[in-house]
Amino acid sequence: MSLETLTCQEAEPLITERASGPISSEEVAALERHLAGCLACRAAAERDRTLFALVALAPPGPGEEAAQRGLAERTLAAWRGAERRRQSARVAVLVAAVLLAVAIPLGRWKASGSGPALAMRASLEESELVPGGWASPGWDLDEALAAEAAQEDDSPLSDTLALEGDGAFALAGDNG
Amino acid sequence: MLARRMTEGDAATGGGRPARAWTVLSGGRSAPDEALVVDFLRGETGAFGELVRRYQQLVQALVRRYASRPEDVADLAQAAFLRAFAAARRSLGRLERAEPGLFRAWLVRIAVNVGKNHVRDTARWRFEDAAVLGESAATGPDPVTLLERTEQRRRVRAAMSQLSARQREVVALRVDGALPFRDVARALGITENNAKVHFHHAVKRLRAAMEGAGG
Repeated sequence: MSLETLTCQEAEPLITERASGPISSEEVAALERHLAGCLACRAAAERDRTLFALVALAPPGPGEEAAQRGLAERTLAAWRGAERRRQSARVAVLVAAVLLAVAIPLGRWKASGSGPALAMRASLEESELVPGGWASPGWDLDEALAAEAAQEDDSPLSDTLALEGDGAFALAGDNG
Repeated sequence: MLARRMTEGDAATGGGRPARAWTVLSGGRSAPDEALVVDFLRGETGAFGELVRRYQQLVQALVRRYASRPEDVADLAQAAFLRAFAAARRSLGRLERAEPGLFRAWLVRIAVNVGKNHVRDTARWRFEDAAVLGESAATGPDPVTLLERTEQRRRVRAAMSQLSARQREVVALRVDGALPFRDVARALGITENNAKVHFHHAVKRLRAAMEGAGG
């Protein structure tokens, strides 16, 4: 399409586009040249102006203008409020993550039952304060002694000693 | 920061601009929107106000098609700006490298979406044509003409509601936003040619309705 001399067919879409909004300055100039000599297209232009007046909304009334006043300030305040909430949410997530990072290993540690004893024993073994690594704090020592006593009562070794004892008494009796 | 760099350049050439003149570049051109958005997201509060002032009228014109109460229009405009800035923050890197017009296209698209969501939530689409009502009050056409206009308006309104969503968006962006087809296309993510095709199909139906042949 040459913009130098428009035919009516070429002018028609430009007429509609111009009635509805901006078109290029070259198109405006070409259209003006065409309309100057074309009565039918001038009528079409008037018809389209009427059409878009029907499509368009009314200009904002006083109430609408008033509601728009201070929009920049209100929007900025809303943005800052949203930013504060966003920062708070970030901090909350961070704190929750730290708490979880601490709480989960602690929970496992406690759930294992011998956690403190194991930890202390590992510590003592590492420091080599007690050769062999058996020694432990009082509560563990008591348990170990009790376990050892029970083991003495039930073990084959204790049976042997008892027999030997009986034999000794017997020997003593025999001697006396 | 593009806007600031240019101001420094102006100062270096003897512009002697005040500190807040960073929104205006040499030759009287304004700083690109994208540079202002980047400045704002890096803490320059003044850039926010400048951007809102630049586009308040456009955004308002677009969203008022979707709302009937003035306070709703203001709320929708605010929501559109907030979402556009949030989108800009998510794509800050892209924005810094973008060619001019990207922020405006985002803003227009977001404004339309905000409006559409409002319509979906409230089941409202605004067709009032007070231009005609205003005309009746100002120039006082005779009752027959007024009646004819009222009837035409009713038919055009009905035809608008029967357009496809895309056709309606193109017409609204063109008529309410006074956007060039290039910007309409960019905002809707379609080609300029496609935007024109939608537009002319829509106009054909609206024109038929106005003339009493289709609606």
